[in-house]
Amino acid sequence: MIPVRVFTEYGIEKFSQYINSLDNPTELVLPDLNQEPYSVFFRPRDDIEIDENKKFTNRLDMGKYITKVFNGAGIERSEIIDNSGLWSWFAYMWFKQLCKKDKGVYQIYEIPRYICSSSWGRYYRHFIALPYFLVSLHGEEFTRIFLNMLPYEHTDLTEQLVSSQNIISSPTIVKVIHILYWDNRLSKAKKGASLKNKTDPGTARRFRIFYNQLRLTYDLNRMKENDILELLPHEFDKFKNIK
Amino acid sequence: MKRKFNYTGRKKIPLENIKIILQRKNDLVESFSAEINVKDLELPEDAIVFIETYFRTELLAFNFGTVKKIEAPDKTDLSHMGFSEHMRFRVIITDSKGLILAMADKVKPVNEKNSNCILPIKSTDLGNQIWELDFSDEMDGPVLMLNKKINGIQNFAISNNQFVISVFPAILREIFMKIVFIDNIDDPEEPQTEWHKKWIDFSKNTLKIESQLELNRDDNDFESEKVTDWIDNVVEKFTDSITSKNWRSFIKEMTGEDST
Repeated sequence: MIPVRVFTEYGIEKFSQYINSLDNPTELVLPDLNQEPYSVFFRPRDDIEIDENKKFTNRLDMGKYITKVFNGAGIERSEIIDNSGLWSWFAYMWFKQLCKKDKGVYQIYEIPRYICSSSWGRYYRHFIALPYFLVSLHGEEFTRIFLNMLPYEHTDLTEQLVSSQNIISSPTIVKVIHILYWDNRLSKAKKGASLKNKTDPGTARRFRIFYNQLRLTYDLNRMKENDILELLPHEFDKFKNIK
Repeated sequence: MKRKFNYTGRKKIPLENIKIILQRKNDLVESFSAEINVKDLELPEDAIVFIETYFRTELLAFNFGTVKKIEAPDKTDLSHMGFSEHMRFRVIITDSKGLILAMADKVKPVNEKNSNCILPIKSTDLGNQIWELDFSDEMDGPVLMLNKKINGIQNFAISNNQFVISVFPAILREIFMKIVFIDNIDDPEEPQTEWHKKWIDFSKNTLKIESQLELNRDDNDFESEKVTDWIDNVVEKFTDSITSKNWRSFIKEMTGEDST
């Protein structure tokens, strides 16, 4: 176990440099940034700890674990949700899990996946900040659709829906998405939910388009999920669990 | 003259009819109060009034009674909300079935910095990039993101004419390309999205672009070359301004920042 730390500017800089220096690495030897001036304890009494060796089966587990750690310590999400240094430090600690290993070579993804940014366009792409904010806000059940993937994955369905601040901040809309696209029996997204063609009927891409139209007319955040489902055109019927 | 249709039937609540005041404790946002005047909008007396406060992942809603009797709930607690320094407010008036009758969005508290600029500037981590446009806020429009690792970049970006002449033409081009070719606006005279309208107004009223942006998407007569010519014209007009004394006022109008 290791006390939770927060990257300083120096730490973020050093971690960025390290990521940028990687070129088809077969080993990942991280610099020691768990010391000042690169990072400081999250709380001066260093009493919040995480398991640095924990292996996550998917991003949902990661979100659940971090939520449990902070809830257990009485830390509210409002205190940490915009703490870029904290989320970047988590990515540093579990870095190896956030790089796919293929034929002995680690795949390094774009910087915003590891370094958390204050810009929303980059923030939601962070491997750790996203699972935490989704699980801490909407709970486990309704966020499976966005997080049921390996720690280093980020699906097109997640990208389409999570990138919209209006969609992802609304508990009602998140439940509608769960009803539409999550297959409880198979524990994965329903077939056809994430097709990429704009004209494919009923997909997550199409949902986003219709959502943006409906929200001009209806107060969706206070409507019942079933009433919102009723408003969607027939192309969504196959996803509404209608037999 | 094109005819305009308001398909939603929704009324706009003028921003000057709304006053949101944040209450703070030890400098931290704790709650808010609101004054809303909708007397002139001819709304049903039993229509329900909600105020939502939001920013990014955060969203809270408060029931403010009905049009006949607008009153704050017992608590308007914002102390548990993330990003509380940046939050905006939305007043929504609906019928009992959730149909929106009137709305005002992006309302800022009266005692906070309130700017009408069309290109706010923020410093952030951009890796090795110097600048980037952030379009991720669908309702508010582009934000010019500058690399915070570069000392004094925010001031330099708006006051150094070499930077302005190198970067701002590309910014303008990217913004108008986004409006026309990515967001696919139909009607440049009355765009549905507020930030599109503000940028087109900027081209007309500030840069004095006389030619109309014509899209004709419905007529199957869409000529992308004409549109890119129009965008070139906007960029050229702006670039010309940099050699005159006007450019500082243009930058101020766009970014809300004083470059003198």
